[in-house]
Amino acid sequence: MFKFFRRNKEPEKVIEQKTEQALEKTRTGGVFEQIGKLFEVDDITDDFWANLETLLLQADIGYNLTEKLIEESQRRTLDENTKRTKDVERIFRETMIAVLQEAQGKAQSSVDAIHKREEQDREWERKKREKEEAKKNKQKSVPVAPISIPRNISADGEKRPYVILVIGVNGSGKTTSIAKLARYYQNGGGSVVLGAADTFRAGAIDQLKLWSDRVNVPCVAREPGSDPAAVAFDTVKYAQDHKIDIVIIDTAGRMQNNHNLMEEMKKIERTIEKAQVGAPNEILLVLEAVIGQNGLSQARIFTDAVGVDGIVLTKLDGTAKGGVAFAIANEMKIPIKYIGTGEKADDFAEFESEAYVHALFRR
Amino acid sequence: MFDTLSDKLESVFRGLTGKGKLTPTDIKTAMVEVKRALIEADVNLGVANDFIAKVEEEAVGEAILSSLTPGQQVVEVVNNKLIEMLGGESTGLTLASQPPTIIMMIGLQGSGKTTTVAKLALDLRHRKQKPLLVAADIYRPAAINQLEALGRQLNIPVYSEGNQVAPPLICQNAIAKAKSDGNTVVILDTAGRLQIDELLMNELVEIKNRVNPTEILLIVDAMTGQEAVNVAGEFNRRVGITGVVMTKMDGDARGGAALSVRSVTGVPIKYIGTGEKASALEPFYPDRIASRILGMGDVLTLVEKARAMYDEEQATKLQEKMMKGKFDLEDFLNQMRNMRKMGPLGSLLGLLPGVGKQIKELRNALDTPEAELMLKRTEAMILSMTPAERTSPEIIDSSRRKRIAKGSGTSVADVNDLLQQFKVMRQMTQKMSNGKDLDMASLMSGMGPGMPGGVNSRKQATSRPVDPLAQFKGSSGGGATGAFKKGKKK
Ligand SMILES: Nc1nc2c(ncn2[C@@H]2O[C@H](COP(=O)(O)OP(=O)(O)O)[C@@H](O)[C@H]2O)c(=O)[nH]1
Ligand SMILES: [Mg+2]
Repeated sequence: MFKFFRRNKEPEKVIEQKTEQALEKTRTGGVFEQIGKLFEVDDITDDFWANLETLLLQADIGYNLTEKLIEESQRRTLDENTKRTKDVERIFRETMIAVLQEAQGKAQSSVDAIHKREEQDREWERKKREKEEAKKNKQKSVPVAPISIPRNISADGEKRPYVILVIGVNGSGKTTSIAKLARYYQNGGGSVVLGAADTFRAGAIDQLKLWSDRVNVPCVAREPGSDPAAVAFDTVKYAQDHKIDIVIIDTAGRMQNNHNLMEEMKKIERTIEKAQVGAPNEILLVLEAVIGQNGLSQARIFTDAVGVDGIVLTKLDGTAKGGVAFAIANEMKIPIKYIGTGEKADDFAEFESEAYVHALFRR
Repeated sequence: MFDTLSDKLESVFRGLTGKGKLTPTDIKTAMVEVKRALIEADVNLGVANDFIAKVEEEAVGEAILSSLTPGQQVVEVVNNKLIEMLGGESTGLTLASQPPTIIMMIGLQGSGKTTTVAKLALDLRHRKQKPLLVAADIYRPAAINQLEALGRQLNIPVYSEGNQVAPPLICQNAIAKAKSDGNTVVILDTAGRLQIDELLMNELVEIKNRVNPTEILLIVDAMTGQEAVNVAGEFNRRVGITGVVMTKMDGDARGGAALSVRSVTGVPIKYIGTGEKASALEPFYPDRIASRILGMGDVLTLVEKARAMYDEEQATKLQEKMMKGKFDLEDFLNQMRNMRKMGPLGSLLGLLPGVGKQIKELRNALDTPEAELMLKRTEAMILSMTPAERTSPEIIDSSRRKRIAKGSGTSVADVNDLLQQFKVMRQMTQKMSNGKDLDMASLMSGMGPGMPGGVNSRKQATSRPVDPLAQFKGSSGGGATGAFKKGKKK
């Protein structure tokens, strides 16, 4: 079902290069670079492990993952019977990469499986409806017109808008990331429309409109204060009418413990589904790199509410590096999908575990 | 199992107390738990280590070692020390002796500066000040529109020169304008920036030099992690801050960044932001944040919230009625509405100390759409009764039941259930009023399966009594706070 996009995906090499470029900006002398320097010692001692633990905790990795990383690394060091710092460093990096990749792999396949199952259920219901419809028509003995199957539920893989819903707490970088994502897909040859469903925060609609002008994509909006779900609905319809490939919906920032706003978000999701069966196709949670352990609570509660397919990790041009996103990958198997490295539309890259980890520890 | 620090420490010490005296080593073990709690609350590791060292020094010396409840004693020392290090008392805003007062707002991108500008302006206007807001963020798309929209909403003037004039000049011009217009406070909304952005940090210094602000407030997101120390430290080193505002405290972050920021800068935290509305700005109380960091819940906030929602007079009346066994369906309805007014019960219970797993389950049960529906239906049924029926439910015979069911869109069986539950509840209140406290949890479990938190929560309710009502019934708050209140005065 995502074939269309796979085709547009950049070849691995290019991604790697772009990631490298983006990551250059993330070299800001933070705690990860200190971890890199840790491996400049001659011997791996108990002190070394203690220092590593300290730095990992300071990187917002959290206790659980920190302990796991250290235990795994120590175990493998023993297994390989090595004490060379070079080996330990490789083992440590591999352990870290494995955590990230596991989230990518597992989350990807489980998300795909869920989508597939949902798709099947819908297909079944649609057929049932069609049958009933046909029966009704027969009873009325009206000449049966060929039932026009709405494009968005055609079973033969016909193209329809791919809908992305972007969610997160206030100020995490949702709107900016949406502009970046629009630019990213445009570069890949897709057409994009943005939906200004943050109708709450003062100036939010203007902000998205300004961005849509800058990256030169249309933006569907209503008055400030109007129903965000309705805006989302309009946007999907607009994309269907104009045969646009990708819909990206901006939403208002919300705290995950705010019951009413979480309900509002669920309603936005349901309404998008009404505009197009199977949509939203992707739900992205935007986390900023400087966030602490609350990131885990966000991932958990947003996932419970609407399901999160991936994380956009923003503001990596700062000194913090979003260690909690690793903890989220470890505990919830939600992958990091994109990274934001500045305030311009091009400061953006696809996340690639290996390149990222190596860049993090580069010294 | 052990959700709070006190629980964890009790378990660490359990068994040890048997040997009469705890040793300094035992305290060290406890400190590992304390440290973990701090890190999980996002207190910076370095700050946490310093903190632990201080606590240890104090704890080893005190009578804790021979205490019967060493876990609680340690928590108390930790809590007191935390309050002390967070600044002890709450500190307000400094106003210039010679108006206008100039307040400069600085911080990272997305930390909440613009929103806080509006909140502060509103607060100052309540204090009879005449604020002018200045749009000095010329970089972020629509930042100026945002401030202007807020100004319009609050009817507070906004000074802007678009996005082509350099911010230091805009600020300078704004001060001149404020003076000529008779504004007593000028609040500068600067662009968000990274503390390592040379150019933009210089811009802040330039603004500072030109307008000589009365206050330079650093806006910090309460969800900030370990990096808070570097961010705040650098902003302070480069620009020199006079106060901190912690924003987004309405989230469920434990807010350890408060301790980190306070420790590295030494400047007071002056306000906290607790929501998106312009009125959601509160003074900072170190004791409240302390217990939140330790995961003990913010009892005082709960008590205040409940008080604000709950009419004391009504409460006294209710109690009197209960004593006389005259509690009726009207009161029942009011009671229910009060509970709903307090907002999503979940967030409220989250503020309670020692809210363990069982209670979380109870709170989930209360927050379900089914529970909500149940409350709505009960309300509809009571509203379909005549006043006489509400005060004397005994008179509700079968024809009345039919009428009530019809009027409320429910069934006679539903009405029967409600009346049955009410009967049980009335009996209970009579029993309880004989000297016992009104315990909402047991009250609800007494209401049977139909009510939220009914039968399946009975077990939980008895295993750890949570008594939201007790918190605002008396004037001294709930029993759980007692320990910390005592500690504070010491
Ligand atoms: N330095 C930096 N700033 C960013 C990045 N992404 C977003 N921002 C800034 O963060 C602030 C909040 O972003 P915005 O997109 O409005 O957040 P939203 O409230 O989640 O929509 C703005 O000032 C953005 O310019 C990033 O990758 N790096
Ligand atoms: Mg936004």
